[in-house]
Amino acid sequence: MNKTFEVAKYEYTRHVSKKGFWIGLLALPIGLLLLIGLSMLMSATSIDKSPVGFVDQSGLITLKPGTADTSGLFSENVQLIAFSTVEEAAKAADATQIQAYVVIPENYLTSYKLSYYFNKPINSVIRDNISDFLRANLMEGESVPNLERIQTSPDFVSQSLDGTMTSSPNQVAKIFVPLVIGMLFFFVVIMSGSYLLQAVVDEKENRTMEVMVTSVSPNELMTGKILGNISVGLTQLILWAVVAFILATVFRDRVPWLFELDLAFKDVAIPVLLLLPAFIFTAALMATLGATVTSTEESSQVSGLVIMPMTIPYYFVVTFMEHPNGVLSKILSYFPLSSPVATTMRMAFTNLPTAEVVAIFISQILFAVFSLWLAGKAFKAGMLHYTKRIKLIDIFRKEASHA
Amino acid sequence: MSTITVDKINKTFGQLKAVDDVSFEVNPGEIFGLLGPNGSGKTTSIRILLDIYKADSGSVTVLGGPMNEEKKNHIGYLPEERGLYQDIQLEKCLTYMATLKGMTKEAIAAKLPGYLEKFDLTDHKKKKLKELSKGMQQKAQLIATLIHDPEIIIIDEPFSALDPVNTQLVKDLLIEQREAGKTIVMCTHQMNQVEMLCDRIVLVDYGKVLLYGDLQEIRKKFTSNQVLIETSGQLPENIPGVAEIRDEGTRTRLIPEKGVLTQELLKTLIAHGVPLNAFEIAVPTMDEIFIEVVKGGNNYHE
Repeated sequence: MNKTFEVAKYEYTRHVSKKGFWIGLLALPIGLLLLIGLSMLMSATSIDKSPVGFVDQSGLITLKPGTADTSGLFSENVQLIAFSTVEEAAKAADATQIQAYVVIPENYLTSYKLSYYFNKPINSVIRDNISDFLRANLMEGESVPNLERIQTSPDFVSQSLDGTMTSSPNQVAKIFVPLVIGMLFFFVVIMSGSYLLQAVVDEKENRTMEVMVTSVSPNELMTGKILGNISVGLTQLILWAVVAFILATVFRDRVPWLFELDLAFKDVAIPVLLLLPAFIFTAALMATLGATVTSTEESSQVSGLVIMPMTIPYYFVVTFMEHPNGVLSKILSYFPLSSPVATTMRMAFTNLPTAEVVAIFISQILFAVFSLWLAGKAFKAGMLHYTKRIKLIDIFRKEASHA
Repeated sequence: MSTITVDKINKTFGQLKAVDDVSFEVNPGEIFGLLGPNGSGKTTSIRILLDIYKADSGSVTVLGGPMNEEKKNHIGYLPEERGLYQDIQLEKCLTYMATLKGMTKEAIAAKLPGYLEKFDLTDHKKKKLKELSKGMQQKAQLIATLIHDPEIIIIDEPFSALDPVNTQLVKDLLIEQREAGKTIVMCTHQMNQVEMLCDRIVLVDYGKVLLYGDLQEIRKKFTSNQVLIETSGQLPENIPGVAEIRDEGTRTRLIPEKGVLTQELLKTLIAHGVPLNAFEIAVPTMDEIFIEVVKGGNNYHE
């Protein structure tokens, strides 16, 4: 066990101490930040926040527009100026004192139409400011509870007659979970998997196999490599998640839905728990393939065999929605490469019995243990074949049972 | 008590019988030569010994019992297929290798600088392995084999890629290890090194043991009554009692007729007035024994 830890530590520090790792690690969040910053800057600078006039012909406007603070680059305020007549407003627009003016017609309460006259087309900031001002005037004098009642849409909590399918306002949140779980799964597997393939093939390319197996057992070596390389992927993921959380917190008002997700503990805990054996299974499978090939080029070709089946649940989203307890849905939630996403998808559309969740979890642990055993076996079979690619069947031959 | 006992091991790969009933023992404080032509079964025997392969039949005892994970820490192995991690620094690579042999960080820090100094690699410790010459990599591999102070040292062609200075360094090191009571198994094709270093040998070919025993005893056994002489004069064309005269450069080999003793030959040469600078019994070299045994394919057990 101690040597497994040493191998894992070596594999981890080998990658983490490389410049390439940090460049790859920082490139995504920095790139993302730059992209967000740039788009915000472009959006902020492209929006004209000079004053907008309005002419009230309806008599609905009783409030005086406040003084808007438009000083900040990212300010979303526009100063509204009242004009008595359309002529006065047009004159001010011609003199570029205002960029546009809006006319609230006499029949607004029946037509709900505003006329907008502009030098520059309307933008979202102006639209929001005018709408808010108009709404505030229309609601003037109403009590706050009444306003909430008017503005709140009803939620539909539905359930199929047999009780197996439910949907609630929480549905969006529940679908959001399998999407995130799937992304996490792909990221870690693709990153760790490629490292792991490389790590196993490196042993062959460097001819270190024979020395290594006279120091550690093939199982210790493979388990150490798998844990070390998964940790590299998880490190990247955790750091990105921290950056994403910071970004989401900073720009909280731009993604309010994210903070309004109403998720039960089990909605997050079960997928996360399923991810761990799935990571180990996938990584061990990558290592098994790595042990059967002889070069880095070959290894990258075979990695597709592992990555492709992971996308299967996304092809069957409709099946999961309509038949969450159907045969295909069940098979995919037990199949280790699709289990985390498939199980989470089923949880979004049905009440998965606890016994089945436990059965899926146990099956995934068994698959993970089996895959580690298989990886050790493949390593033993392929370790001294430096130049010859071995077949999967060779793993089970008697000669392969070296140690 | 033997450190290593190999008892009638057999190993077949498909149709090929790689090891055929091989037995030998290796004792503490000796350098044991595991010899044989290419593809004779030496490496397979070593891999069985190290539990990399399982023997089809027969048994191996290492340090008083079957091989296990714990015993790996007491063995230093320099395989025929040399290999170190090319993309990392020499010091890091050796530290990692030593860690896997159960050494603590403190023990490595105490021993590694001395070995690097001894092998003249201190200035290169921060270089990646791939930046080092083949000879330097060979020395690095030797450090990885010896740093954890193993009780058993198994080395395959330890002198390949080494210049004469480093060859002598490794020879001295092996002798030093032998004197410290270590058990050393050495595979090599350099028979002059075998003559100089090995106490006992086993010679295998086609997976079978052809020759096994004490090196000096074996050489004696192969010694005939042939003599090697050095003379400053001209040898007569016919010398009574000599069946064949063979020029071997600075020396001449005299092959006596059957039944003629060496002492009689010496008397005859003096009687014929041959000026002798040297006269010695022609003990066969290991090269000669190797060729004779491998070509003959006979068993010469001690």
